[in-house]
Amino acid sequence: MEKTILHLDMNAFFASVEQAANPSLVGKPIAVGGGIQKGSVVAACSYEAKAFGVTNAMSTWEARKLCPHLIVVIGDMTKYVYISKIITKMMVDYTDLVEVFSIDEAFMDITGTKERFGGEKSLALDIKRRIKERFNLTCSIGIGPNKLIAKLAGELQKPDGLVILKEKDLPDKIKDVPVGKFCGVGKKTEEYLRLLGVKNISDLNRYPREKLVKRFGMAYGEHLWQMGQCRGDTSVLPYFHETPAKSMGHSYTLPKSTSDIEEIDGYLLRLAEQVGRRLRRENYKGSVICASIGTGDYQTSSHQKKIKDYIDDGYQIFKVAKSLLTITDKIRFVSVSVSGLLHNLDQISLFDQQESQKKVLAAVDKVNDRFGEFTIERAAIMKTVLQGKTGMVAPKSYSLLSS
Amino acid sequence: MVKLDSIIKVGAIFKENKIIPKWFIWESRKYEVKSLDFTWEDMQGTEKIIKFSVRDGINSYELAYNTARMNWALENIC
Repeated sequence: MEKTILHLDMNAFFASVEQAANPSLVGKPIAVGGGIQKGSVVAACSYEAKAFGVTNAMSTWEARKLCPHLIVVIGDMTKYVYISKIITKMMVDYTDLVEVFSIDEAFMDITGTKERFGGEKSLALDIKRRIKERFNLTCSIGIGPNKLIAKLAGELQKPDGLVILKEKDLPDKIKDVPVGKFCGVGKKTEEYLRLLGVKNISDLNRYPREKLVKRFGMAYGEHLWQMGQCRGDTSVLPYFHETPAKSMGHSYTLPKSTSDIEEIDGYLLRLAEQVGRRLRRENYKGSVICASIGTGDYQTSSHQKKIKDYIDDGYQIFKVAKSLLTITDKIRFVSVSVSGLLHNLDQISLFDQQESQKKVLAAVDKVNDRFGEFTIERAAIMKTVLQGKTGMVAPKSYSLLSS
Repeated sequence: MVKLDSIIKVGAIFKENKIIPKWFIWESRKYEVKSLDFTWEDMQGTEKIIKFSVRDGINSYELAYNTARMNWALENIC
């Protein structure tokens, strides 16, 4: 039986939320980011800004060169996360099979429930109406027989689009769509395919499998071939399914470059404490510590180490992270993450000091749970203030192709 | 955007499970809320904070109501 997979993508989400929250920004080019200081980047921009060539991840400085009257708004993740959760709950009204792909995208398997809502088109229009009424935000919805095609369909009409593709429509209805529109085909791959004479989906559909495997390797070559045949993953995990985290981390772009070791240690320790706190809150411990630093010209270097213990203590994470780094230049970016995670690992230590330390951490966590983050903190990081929020290193990676 | 975090007085009505701020007093001046544009929630520890984006016809303001301490703050002016 052909599946009906729906992909929902909020249009210019962060920027649209800011415009909805402050209607005087509607119709204006806005960029959501860390501010206008040097080194800040555009996290998201409105369609009005995109018309000037402004793109996500561009530096604010570059964006303002392209669009001098660009309004830069400091992002507020709490707003976006809150709205994202409400929208997810709305989607669960239609089916349990709702899989969050990112803060502004999700998949739904509506195969078994669409008829209750008058069919897939009626269901999709109802979701769009409810989001618009509640938040004054628009989304693009794509519907297809698998996740790959559903996501591609959503890309074809933005903003506020609705595109439905059935099995029988493929690949004819999308034959002229550039291959770069497929999730999983980046700019470099698109360019390489173009050199092979593969510009659109029709070209990819006809390109021999063996040649793709020869050019791109067994795994990715096969993936590309499957994409060309419009085949993709049809399994949508239910919203209550918890995928185990693979890693947890935090990163921070410093207000200005520095080579002061004490200052950098302060940032590193604060980030390590944030990671430790998250690990303990979600009951994980990890054994692989990774630390990254970056310079003002966006060159980054990362180092990691596997230790024999599984840890969740911010200070221990900091000590390992510090040992991995050699500061020879001015630093602008710092990141700490822990992977090799085990869930619910409750070991009783043989050493009194370690057991004591666990109790101290538990007590600190209890106070911070009650009164807010860093109500109690180490004296060593009291002088280090993080302006704005740190970036969270996403723990999951997603594949739209059949597993 | 100007970040403030000032404790203020707010007049609000409670209607259909919602809080609707109608005016607030900041630095001895009364501001009438002409439109309530957006509402969202945040947590500070275990304390729920309800946030409101409102306008007085000139500027946009972010008000925050701490449901545990029952106080209001003016967080930002946009």
